[in-house]
Amino acid sequence: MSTTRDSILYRDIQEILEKKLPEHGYPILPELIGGVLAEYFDSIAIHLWSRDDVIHILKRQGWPISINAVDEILSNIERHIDCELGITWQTLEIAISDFYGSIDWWELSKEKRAQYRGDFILKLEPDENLLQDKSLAELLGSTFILWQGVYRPLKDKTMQEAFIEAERIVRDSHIPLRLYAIEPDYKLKEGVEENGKEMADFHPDYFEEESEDE
Amino acid sequence: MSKARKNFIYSQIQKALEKLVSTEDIEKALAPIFDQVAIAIIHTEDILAQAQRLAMPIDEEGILEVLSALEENLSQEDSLSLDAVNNSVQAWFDGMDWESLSSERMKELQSSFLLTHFPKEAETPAYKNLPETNLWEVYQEAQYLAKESNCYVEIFSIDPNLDNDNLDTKIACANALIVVEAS
Repeated sequence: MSTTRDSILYRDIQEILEKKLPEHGYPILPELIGGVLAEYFDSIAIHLWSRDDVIHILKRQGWPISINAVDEILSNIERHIDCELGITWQTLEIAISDFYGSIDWWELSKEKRAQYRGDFILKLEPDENLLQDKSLAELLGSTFILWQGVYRPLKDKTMQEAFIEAERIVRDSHIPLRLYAIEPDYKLKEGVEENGKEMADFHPDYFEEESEDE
Repeated sequence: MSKARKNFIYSQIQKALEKLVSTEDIEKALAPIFDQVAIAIIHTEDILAQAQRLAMPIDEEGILEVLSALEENLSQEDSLSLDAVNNSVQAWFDGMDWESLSSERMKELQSSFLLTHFPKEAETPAYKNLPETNLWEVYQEAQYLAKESNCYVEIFSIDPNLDNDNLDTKIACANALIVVEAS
C-alpha cells in the first residue's frame, strides 16, 4: 500500500532512480522502475525519520550540529531499533544523548570539531581573591567584550572556533573558563549551568604546561 | 549509512533492481536517500503473526488495509510499534462486516476456527475444532450442522497456537464471527 498511498520514500526512490540511472547509461523507463518497486512497497508500512527530526531535537536541546553526526545518529537508531517499540521521539532523544555523551571534545580532531556548529557561551570563572585585588575589566583588558558579567556568547560558530576563542581568553587572562553549548537565541534568564551543555573546561595550567613542554 | 548497515528496504530494492542495473550504480543512486534517514518497517508477516495472536482470520486484502491504516495514522507521537499493529488489526477486525462476506472473500480468510453447535437432544453445546482452514469451508460446515440439528451454529476464530486440550482458554480467547441460523 505504500505505493498507492504515495509513500514519500517510494516516490523519492523512484525519482532518484529515474534521474540517476540514465546518467549511468541505463535507458530505463519510469514505469519499469515503478513496477519493480511497487510490489515490495505495497507489502510494508514505513515510518521514516529524517535529518530534520534529529536536527529539531539537537537545536531544542542546544547541541552543536554536524551533518555527519546527524547521519551517524540516524544510523545508530536504525541499527538498534526495538521492533516492539518502533522509532519514537524518545528513541531519537536517547540516541542523541548517547552519541553526544560519548564525545570527548578535547580528544576530537580540529577538523572534526570544525564540523560542529552552534551557539556557545563562555563562562569565565575568576578566582575570588583575584577579583578582590583587581576589577574584572582590568583583569581581562579592553579586548574582551563581556556580556552580563562573566558570560560571553558566541553565536553561530563552529566548535573549533569556540575552542580557539576559549583558549585565547584563558591564555591572555589566566582565568579558567567553561565552554557551554546553548540552544539558538537563548537569553540568559537562568544560569547556563542548568540550560547549557558543558562541552569543555579550559584552565590556564593546561596551556602553561604546554608552554613548558615546548 | 542505511546502505552501509544493510538496511532491509535498501537490500530489497537492490534485489528488485539488480536484473536491470549493476549493484554499484544502484548504490550510487540510492545513497543520498538512505544515508539520511532511519526507517522502521512493518511487514505483511508482522500483521499476519499479530492477527494469529489475536485469533483473527485475515487475508491479503485485510493485511494491506492494516498496513495502509498503520501508515496513514502515524503521527509525530506514534511509532510503528507492536502496540500500533495490535490496535490496527483490532480496528480492522471490528470494522469488518463478518455476516455479509462474499464466498470469494471467505475463501481467502485463513485461520483456525471453532464451531459451537447444539446436537439434537444434547443438553450442552458441542464444539468442533476446524484448524488451519478458510472461513468458507467453516461456513459450509456450520450450515450443515445447523440443518442437521435444526439449531443455530456459532463460528468463532481461535488462536491456532493454543493447546488443543484447553477448550476453556480457547473459548475465552476466541472471536465470534458469524451466527448461522437453522434454515
